[in-house]
Amino acid sequence: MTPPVVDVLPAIPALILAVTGLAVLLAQAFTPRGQAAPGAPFSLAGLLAALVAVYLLAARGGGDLGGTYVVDAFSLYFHALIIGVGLVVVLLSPSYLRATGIDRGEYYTLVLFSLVGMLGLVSCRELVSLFVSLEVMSVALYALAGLHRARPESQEAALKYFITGAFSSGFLLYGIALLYGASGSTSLVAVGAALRTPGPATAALATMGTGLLLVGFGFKVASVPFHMWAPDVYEGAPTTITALMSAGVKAAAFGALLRVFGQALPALAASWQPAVAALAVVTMVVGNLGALAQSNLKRMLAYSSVAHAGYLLAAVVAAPGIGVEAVLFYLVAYAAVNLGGFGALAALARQGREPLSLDDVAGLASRRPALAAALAVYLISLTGVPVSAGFVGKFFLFRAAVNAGWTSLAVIGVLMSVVSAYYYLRVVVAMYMREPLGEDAWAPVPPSAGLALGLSAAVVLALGVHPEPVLTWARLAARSLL
Amino acid sequence: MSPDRIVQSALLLSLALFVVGVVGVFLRRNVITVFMCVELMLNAVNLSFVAFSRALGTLDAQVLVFFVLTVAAAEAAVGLAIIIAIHRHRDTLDLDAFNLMKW
Amino acid sequence: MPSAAPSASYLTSHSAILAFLLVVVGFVAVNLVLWKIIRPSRFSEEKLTTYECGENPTGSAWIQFNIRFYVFALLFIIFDVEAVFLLPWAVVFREIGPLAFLEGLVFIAILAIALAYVWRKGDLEWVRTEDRQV
Repeated sequence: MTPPVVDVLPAIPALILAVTGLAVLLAQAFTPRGQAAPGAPFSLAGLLAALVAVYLLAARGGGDLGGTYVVDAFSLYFHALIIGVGLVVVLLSPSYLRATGIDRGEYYTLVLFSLVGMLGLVSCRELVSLFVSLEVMSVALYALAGLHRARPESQEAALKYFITGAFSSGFLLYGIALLYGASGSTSLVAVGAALRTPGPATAALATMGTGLLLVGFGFKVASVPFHMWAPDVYEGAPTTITALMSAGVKAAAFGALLRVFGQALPALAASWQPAVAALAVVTMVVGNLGALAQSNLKRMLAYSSVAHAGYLLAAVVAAPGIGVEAVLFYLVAYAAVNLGGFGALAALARQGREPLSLDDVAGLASRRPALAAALAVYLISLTGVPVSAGFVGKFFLFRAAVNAGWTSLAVIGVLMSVVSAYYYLRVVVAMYMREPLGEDAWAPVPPSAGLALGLSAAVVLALGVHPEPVLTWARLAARSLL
Repeated sequence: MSPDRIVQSALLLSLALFVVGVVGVFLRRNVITVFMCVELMLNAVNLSFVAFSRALGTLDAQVLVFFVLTVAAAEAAVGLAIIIAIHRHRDTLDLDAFNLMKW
Repeated sequence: MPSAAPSASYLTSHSAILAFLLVVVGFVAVNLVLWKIIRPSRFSEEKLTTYECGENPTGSAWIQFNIRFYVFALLFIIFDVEAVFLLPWAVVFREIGPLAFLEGLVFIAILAIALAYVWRKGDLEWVRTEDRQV
């Protein structure tokens, strides 16, 4: 047996994050009691270094680690997005952790580890490394969701996330097993090749496996009817972690979904496209109607994130092709607004409380004009009003669906976006048209969180006015998947 | 029994175990039991992997079982820690009691 | 791939186990019945109480025990299962050479970091230092 030659360079960004995570863990352990461990600065340095590594990798033209972990334009696009999400979350965290009394170094370690899992998820071209990446991400997030040990809601969120997460992993794994049984390989390319000329038994196994994979991914992206965990977990988890889940996990899960269904299962498109379309319809409808009924802002944003999974799935139906680049573009727009939305709530947290109801944000515009303006930008973008990233993104999503012959999906999407205007703009109205209630109970916006929120708002507006650069990049990434 | 029959029986057994696990997750109300049902699902999949590995004559899937086992152990450690933390606060392990937020 | 035993020898190869099973079950059954007949039976209330080294039993057996046990159990599970990767690693170590050594080193280093973390957090001591101070 000849020793395998392994080019580790493609894995450098993930390795940097993993090593930083371990360093933060040790720093936490060896910091004397009563002193703060330097978790946030370490993490920021690691994330910036990883971003530089991604840039250098892109200049080098990507790479391939033994055929299992590949860095092509598609993974580079997601690398940049996920590391960007990580940067914003780490910027939002220190003030929120202090305000809620959970300032521990392990928080940053777990965030970094979950980011490593996300990077793996979008880069793996082999089903078992994909599963391991998924679990690296999920296990870290289970713990993060329950980090606020004094709050029963946080623990409940962790438990529900853990049970549904492990349950869905079982489905995903069974799907992987059946695809392996049908094709004799776990490599996406080999599976794709084997399924192009299937026998009758193989086809049956592969179809079952595809269905199970769809269920597993359905849980991860929180699409109806596999969404029941999302509102509870988003509500109960620490708000910065909710931001990470809604932006990062959704991006990584859609990345993996596109790669698996685009590279391994295009031969079965005729059987999974109708299923994805059905998921998209119920997800758009149930997500938006659910959000209408919510009074808790975090819960409302959670249902909104379910609804957005529906919009994205509507374009996945059109994959592979124009659908992929629409999904890629929208994921950036969506990550920016969700980081902003949850981040704005987190930035106001004081003494364990944060604004969660419409009354809490009433008259916010007169007390925190900049933050209210930013929050208004995010909400307008979520609705999909022109000159925001959300409008451009939704336009491409629905155009992709129409071009692929699924006009009904686009019509439902547009109708549901109109419905969503009610619950998003209700918050804007409360901030701008109502008088503040009582004393100002919220914290002044901390500088680092202000930077993070400003960054997200800038991305939203820039993508709305001038989407071409990101769009070009998304197109390039989508092409590398074919 | 011929090798084919053994593989076939193993696959059917694995399917049955998986279904038992899924049904258990929905029917049982005790968190620990639900968690055991999830583990049953994962191990049912392991059985499929080994059976397919034998049918296809490759060893890949047997290596995969190692990974699934270790991942399941890590998951179990975090999961049990979460369950203990919640039990300390609430003094119950009944899933229906965890309703501070509606499911 | 090892082939399965042909169906003809399937029964004969397992007949020894069947015979063994019968002997075991029979042995236990015969002894239970035999001694039931032979032994004297003098019933008293005292004999029904739980035997607890001559002490009168107090309370229920279902008590809460120290939560420490669970931390040790979890740590054991994690380190125990990770060790499973070291066995195949050891098998192919000679063939792969320096790269295998390096990778093994990295793997063990990560486990060592986890161990160092647990040790510093005081979770390896029966009474945690921070608990003692409180």
